[in-house]
Amino acid sequence: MSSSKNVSEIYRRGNKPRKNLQSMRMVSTDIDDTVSVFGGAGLLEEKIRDVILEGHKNIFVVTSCVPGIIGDNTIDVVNAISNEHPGLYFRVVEADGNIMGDWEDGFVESANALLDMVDCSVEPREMTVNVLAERYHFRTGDPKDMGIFELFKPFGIEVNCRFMYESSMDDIRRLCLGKMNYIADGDRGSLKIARLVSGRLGIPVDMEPLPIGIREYRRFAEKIGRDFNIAQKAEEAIAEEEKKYYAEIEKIRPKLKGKRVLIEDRFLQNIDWLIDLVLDLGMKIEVIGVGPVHPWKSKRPDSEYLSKGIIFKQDYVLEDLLADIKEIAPDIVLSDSGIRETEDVYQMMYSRPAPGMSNVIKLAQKIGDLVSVPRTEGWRMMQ
Amino acid sequence: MTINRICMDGFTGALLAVESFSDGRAVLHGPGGCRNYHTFLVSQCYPRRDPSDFKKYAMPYFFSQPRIPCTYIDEDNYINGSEKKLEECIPVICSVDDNFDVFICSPGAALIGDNITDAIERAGYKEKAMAIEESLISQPFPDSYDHTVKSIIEWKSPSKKKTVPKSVNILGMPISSIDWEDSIDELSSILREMGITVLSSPGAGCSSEELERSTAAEYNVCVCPEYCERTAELYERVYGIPTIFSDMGAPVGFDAVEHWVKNIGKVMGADTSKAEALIKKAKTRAYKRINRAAYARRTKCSRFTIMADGSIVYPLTKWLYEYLCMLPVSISVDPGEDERTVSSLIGFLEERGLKDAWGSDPAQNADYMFTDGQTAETQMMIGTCRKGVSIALPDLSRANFIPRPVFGLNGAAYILDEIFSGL
Repeated sequence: MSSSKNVSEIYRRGNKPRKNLQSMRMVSTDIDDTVSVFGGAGLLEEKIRDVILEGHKNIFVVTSCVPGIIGDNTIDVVNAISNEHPGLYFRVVEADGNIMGDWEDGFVESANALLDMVDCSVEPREMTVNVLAERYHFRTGDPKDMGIFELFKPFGIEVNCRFMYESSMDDIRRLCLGKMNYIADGDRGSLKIARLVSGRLGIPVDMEPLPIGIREYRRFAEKIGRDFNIAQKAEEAIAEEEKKYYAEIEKIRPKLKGKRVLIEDRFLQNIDWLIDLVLDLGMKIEVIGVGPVHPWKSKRPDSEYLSKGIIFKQDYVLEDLLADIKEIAPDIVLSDSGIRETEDVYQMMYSRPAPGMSNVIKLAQKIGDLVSVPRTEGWRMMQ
Repeated sequence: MTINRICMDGFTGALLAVESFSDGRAVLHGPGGCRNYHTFLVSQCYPRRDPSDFKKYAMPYFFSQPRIPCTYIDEDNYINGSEKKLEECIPVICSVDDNFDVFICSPGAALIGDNITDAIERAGYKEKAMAIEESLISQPFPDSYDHTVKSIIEWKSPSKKKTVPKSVNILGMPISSIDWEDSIDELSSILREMGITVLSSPGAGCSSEELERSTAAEYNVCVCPEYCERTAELYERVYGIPTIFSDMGAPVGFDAVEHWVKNIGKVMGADTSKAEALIKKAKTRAYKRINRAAYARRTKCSRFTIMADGSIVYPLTKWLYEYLCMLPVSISVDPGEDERTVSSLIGFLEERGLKDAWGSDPAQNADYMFTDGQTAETQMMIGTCRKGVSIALPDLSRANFIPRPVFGLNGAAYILDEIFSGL
């Protein structure tokens, strides 16, 4: 009822009825205390048989803390049923939260489980690629998520499988059809999935995340040109995107030119795309506060701007941010932590946009719009 | 085909019950994975976040989220116990502000058998914190909610006060009910029209101070019996305060509201004429609007499904059938039902030849589905019903600005709004 997938589907609901909500296919064994005494194998078997009767062909069994603690042998239960149904696909994902780790670890473990399905005898096809580690909760739903296809379209390249986002089981089985694999993001989880795919399937994976912003796009397009032997087409695509990008930036620039900006980067690995954008918009970066290293951010960003006069403050915490706002008095604060503590500056939360050019332009428009409205919503004045 | 609807269980019930106290805070003894959704859900059920919270609670166990801090136990704790972790966290959590803390074990942590009560006592916080040690996942949501509210009252142990004539406590209003604060306001207002004062509402926004005053009440009045039977028994046994239950279940729909009012008036010897005038005014208003509605006749024979607490299902089924001539096609109650209400509901359906609707497949097509917001929304999205009507949380898809409670006269208006906007 309230799985994260379900929440996501409700948030991104459209006016059109959807016949196939993925969350509706997730069922629970509804274990209770009697399971702690008598074991949960019976409940699990009953539920799997119900799911088979409903006609499902690919069944994943994901465990939680309690079956792990009481020592349920989930794999034996699944194996026994699997022998009765050789035409169906079963896979156990042991994701006990207390042992496996956090959300990201479970997600990577599920990716690992899904890779069992891949048919490695499938030969790669020319001008075909896969996109790895897209995650549904980062996305907003059809048709807004089609930017990935637009990214490859100018090169005549087809996207085969978006692993693990809106892909069917058949898409995953035919993953090897993709001649090259790209990751959608460069965060820890995405890199782990990329290494898994590369290590387990022995297929090439580009460890650079798909591009955001015009400079990353240029590098990406040049690489595509070399790798797929379409340098001319790549140059044309770059020229076209640069023309569109700078035309849009010029429209927004007058509103933002000369504004002083403070950027807080608490979570993202690299925000050079944002620095590029802010500078392109004619703004001045006063300081970039980089949050402490933590499990989701294993290293500090390797920024190209480290040696270009921009001040980076490391291990930046809330107190530093508040002190800097007071001392520097920037016009705009861009933060990825969503903190809002003061009404004196324009503040906006940002996250890494989906790959491609359109989303970064939308972000630029949003920053431009930010200075056209009051600094703080009236309702906040209640406090 | 059926609906894979997951009802909230006793674990969630206990967390919400603690959080229902305005100065109470649930502390989750378990892994972080069990925290996130509940923090989110509680913030929706009882929004009370302050802008300064982010900074105030930027510390271990909270991580800037003020609701439901967590001990974040891990693999080692499952093997070696979490005594040390409890020793470290109790002083931090319990000293952050004036709220009282109730430690609740996650289903997995309950199996380890840590003695949290002892740990709280050793840390010197037994006046400020307590623990509910047992595993709660086997209990239905309402039972656990009731049990937790009762346990907190027992722990707080308010002293018996001199009875204030014509005063009541409202029991059985869970914060999982949509816009429960508006329901409490409206029911209190109706009672005020009867010369009755509401002293407190344990389980629905009650403070420790109000709880202390609650023992001066002449009676308790019940909204949903599933959520207060044990609490009512405690008030009767320890403080001699009886609880007034309504034969019609919760005050949902005009008829049940009227019955609720008259029943309380009869038991307490209160004048109900002003409250009845309010009900008549609301019914007249509804009549005029239905009468001029372009498609008013379409409600007749509209098919409906209800999945909710029994004390809501009974009056709602009866009211939709009698007031709008709608036809029940699937009627079921959530676990933890009140037997008397369910028995009345089944009797009602049998007498009218509608017994087939009882417990039948809720996935069959209906015009309206009345259930928790999440299910109502998803079932409407996949086309099981034309209109899903949210009558309980979780309902993550919207925020209400015009009060849309289920109980009372405003509740009746809300349900009519939803029905007529779905025609």
